[in-house]
Amino acid sequence: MAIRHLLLIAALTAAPSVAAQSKAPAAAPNTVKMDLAAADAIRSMLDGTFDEGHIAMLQALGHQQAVAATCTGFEIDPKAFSNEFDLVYDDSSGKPRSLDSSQRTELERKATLALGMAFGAQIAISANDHQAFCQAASEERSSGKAAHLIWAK
Amino acid sequence: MLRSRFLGAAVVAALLLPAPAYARHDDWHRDHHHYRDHDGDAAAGAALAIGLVGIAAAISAKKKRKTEEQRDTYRYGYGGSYGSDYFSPAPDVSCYRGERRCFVRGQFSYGWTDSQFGYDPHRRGY
Repeated sequence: MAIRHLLLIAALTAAPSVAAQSKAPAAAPNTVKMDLAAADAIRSMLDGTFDEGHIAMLQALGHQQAVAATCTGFEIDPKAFSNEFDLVYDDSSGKPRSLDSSQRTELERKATLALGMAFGAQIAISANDHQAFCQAASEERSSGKAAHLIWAK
Repeated sequence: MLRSRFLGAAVVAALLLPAPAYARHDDWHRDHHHYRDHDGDAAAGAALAIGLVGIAAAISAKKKRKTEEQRDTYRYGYGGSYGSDYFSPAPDVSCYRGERRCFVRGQFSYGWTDSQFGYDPHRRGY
């Protein structure tokens, strides 16, 4: 009798958690969730300092640096890197921002932090499936679809 | 003041004490010649208590998780479930409007991100 009660109670206790798991929506892969979480954190940290073009550029630089750091056959072209990164000194209309030295330092700190966050996040993401990470980068480079890549040719 | 305190204590004692006392002297089963395994009942009672504690713990854990998610959402804007702003412009390609990011088979794609969320910081036309 006691065992029957125990089994019944165990079943009742376990049922809600089982039901909750089966009801969970098909989630994004972990690599995507990690990327999106980092993207949100970067945007939140920058807090309006840069426009969406700058944010996309800094994240793209971080990703390409992570590829160069972890995949064979990839290197960063320093000139191409500077050309892209230096866009942070321009405003959203493409004109140079008027900055005093402290504002310039603050801008560089934020841009460097965003770049580092993107770089670190992509290094972590690459550890999920290193081969797939490098394969995707190879396909991206060979497709020629992405403009302004900073990998050495 | 002292009297009202004494009265309060008496009421609490009256509420707490008789319950187990009555349970001990419950002759309902005996009256009906319905002998039961009282040890089994005690075990079932204990199991029920454990089950209730388990449910309470599960509810508490869920509440804590929700609080943490809300805290992360507050701090970074993430922590909720991704997917409500998902779209797929091509097979194997998944994009998320909120973060302005696109992926091919779960890997970040600069090309697709640019084509779906193009925003040129230098008006270079991409």
